[in-house]
Parts: sequence; C-alpha cells; structure tokens
Amino acid sequence: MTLEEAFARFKRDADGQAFDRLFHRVKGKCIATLMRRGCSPNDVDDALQEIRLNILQKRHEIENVDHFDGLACLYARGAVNQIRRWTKLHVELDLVEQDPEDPAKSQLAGIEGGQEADYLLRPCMERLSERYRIVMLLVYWEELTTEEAAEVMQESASVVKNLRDNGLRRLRECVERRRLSAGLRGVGGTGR
Amino acid sequence: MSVSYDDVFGREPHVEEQAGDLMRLAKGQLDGQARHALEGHLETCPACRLALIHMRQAVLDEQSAWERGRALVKDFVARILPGEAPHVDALWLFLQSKELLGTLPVSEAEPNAQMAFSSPIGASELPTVLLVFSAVLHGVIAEALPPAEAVDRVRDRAEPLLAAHGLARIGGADTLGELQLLLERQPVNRSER
Repeated sequence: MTLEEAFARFKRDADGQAFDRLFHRVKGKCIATLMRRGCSPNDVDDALQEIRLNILQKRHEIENVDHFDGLACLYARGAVNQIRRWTKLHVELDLVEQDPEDPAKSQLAGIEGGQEADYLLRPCMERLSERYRIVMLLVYWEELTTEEAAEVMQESASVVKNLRDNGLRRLRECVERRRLSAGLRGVGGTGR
Repeated sequence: MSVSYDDVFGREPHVEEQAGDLMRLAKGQLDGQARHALEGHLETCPACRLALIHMRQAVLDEQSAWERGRALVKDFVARILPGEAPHVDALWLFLQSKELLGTLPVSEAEPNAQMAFSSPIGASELPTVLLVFSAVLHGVIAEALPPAEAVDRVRDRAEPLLAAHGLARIGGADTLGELQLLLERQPVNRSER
C-alpha cells in the first residue's frame, strides 16, 4: 500500500491498516517530543493513543499526508501540556528542592502536591504585565530557548532575555512577600 | 495559571488548519508560492510561529535519534563485517528515504534494499544483517520499546535469516543479544536539547 493509497483509504473508510501506515511514519517525531518534554516511557503509550484518537476525530478535515503529520505534532504537544508542570520555574524561584539524582523528582517544601507553589505563584503571575507573562509562558511552559521565544514574539533575543530576567526578579520578590505574609518557610536552597 | 494563552496565540483550530504547510516548512519541503504565502501569514500569527518551532524541534529530535542509531548500527556491523562500512551508509539512506523501516516485513524489505545498489550485492550478508538490526533499532527509537522487547519482537524472524548467513552467533555469543546489550549501554531513544 503506497502512502497515497493509505491516505485515500484512511479518508474514505477510516481503514485501520491505512491509518497505521500513516501514523507509523510520524510516531517517531511524537515520541521524541513526548520524551524530550518529560513524558515517562510508561506514559508514552497513553499519549500516543490520545494522539491517534484526536487525529481520527479530524479525519474529514485532513487534507494531505503533511497535514496528518503536522496535526500529530500539534497533538503531541497537547499531550505534553497535560502532564507538564511549572517545575523549571518553581526551581528558579526556590519553590522546590530538586533531587540532584533525578531532577524530575522535585519536592515542595512543606505542602505536598504543588499546592504551596501554586498558592504563592499564581497571584504573582497574574500581576505581571502581558509581555512578561508571555515570556514566562514561552520560556518556562513551552520550554523555548531565548532565541526561539524572540522569534515567536518578533523581538530581539536581548529584549526577551531582559524581559525574562526582570520577570523572574518581579516574581521572586512577589513570592517572597507572599511567603512572609503567610508565615511560610522557604526551601532554603540556593537563595538568590 | 489563569493567563489565557488563546488571547495571545490564537485558537488551536486556526493553527490546525495550517498544520500541513507548517510541517512541510519545518521539514524544508515547502517551496514557491505556498512558502511565500505561509511566510506572509507567519509574520502576523504568533500561534503559527510557536507551532512551527515545536514542529522543527520534533523533526530535529527524530533526525538526531536516528543519526545516533545509525552510528551504533554502523559500528556494530563493522565489527561483524569489516570492510563493508561504505555500504552501510548507502543502505541506511535508502531505507530512510523509502520509509521502509518498520513498514515492511524484513523478508519484503530485503529485495528493495538490494535494488538500492547499482550492482547486486550477491552473496553479501550485509542487507540481511542491517535489516535485522534496523528492525530492532526501529522498535527502540520509533516505538520507544525497551531493547529487550524490540529484540524479542524480531527474534523469530531474524534468527533464521542470520543463521542462513552463519551470523546467528558471533564468537559464540548471541548476535541479537549483543546488539541488545549495546543499545542498553548506549540509549538512543532520548534526545537532549
């Protein structure tokens, strides 16, 4: 079955074999995205299943093989969004202690489950102006480099770096104020 | 966080409509008027610029994993078949360009691989060996299987092929087992940025 035949059969009949032929080609990209962004090997299968279902739901709108591949990449990113956390930002702000043996296992000081970090950080993030918030989202949520964030924002890399550094400073100050007023103890780690 | 990403980056359905052209651009395969039109759109659409960056990264991640996989197999084949290394490159490129890896049973892929060379390889064991190893590697890289599972999956088909060429065991050791150990010592399925 050629790729074109597979695509035609997938569009016309939602043929499972044809779908597998198409999905097989893009699966490597999806797995690379999932694993680079912190998806554990155990979660990969579930994420792939979700990507498959999303593509099947869009079957009638998919125009060609490249469209199929592009959607798979978008859905892989969506699957990552569901498991991703603000871990890197929490570390930057000393909201967590990082396990040096396994950076993925970051422990919050005091309250479990990210509630304390969220309680401290959420209002501070909301107080940032839009440009700061966007930079924080691009760098710490989307995990883009400064250069990539600059490309998205159509700014120079130095402007984005300044926004990131100043945004972090503002967040840090705000978090510290909230921590003091709530009588919470810091993790006592790196102390910036 | 309560920041509305949609306010800044547009709604996902809009990006989904552009996903095909964005992917072709990420792969460097979009030319002419379509490229011109998309580049014009990208000037005004941060959501598509963001999606393009993620697609580019996915393409690079996959290429990088395959490159490391190719290097591993090349080293391994060179240990078994000294002097055949130039063919490894040619065959590997052919397999990738034809998207044969994992899409065809080994027995069907082999004649296609033979055709990749201007002159037949004849009795050379290389296509068989490489295809078997490629099938294992495909399981590890593209399907995120643990090396042992990837080896198990192809063992039934692969062992008769290897045995036919006297390659089922190297120096008394199980050839596929050796490959499995190599992959476990040098993982290729994770890419770092």
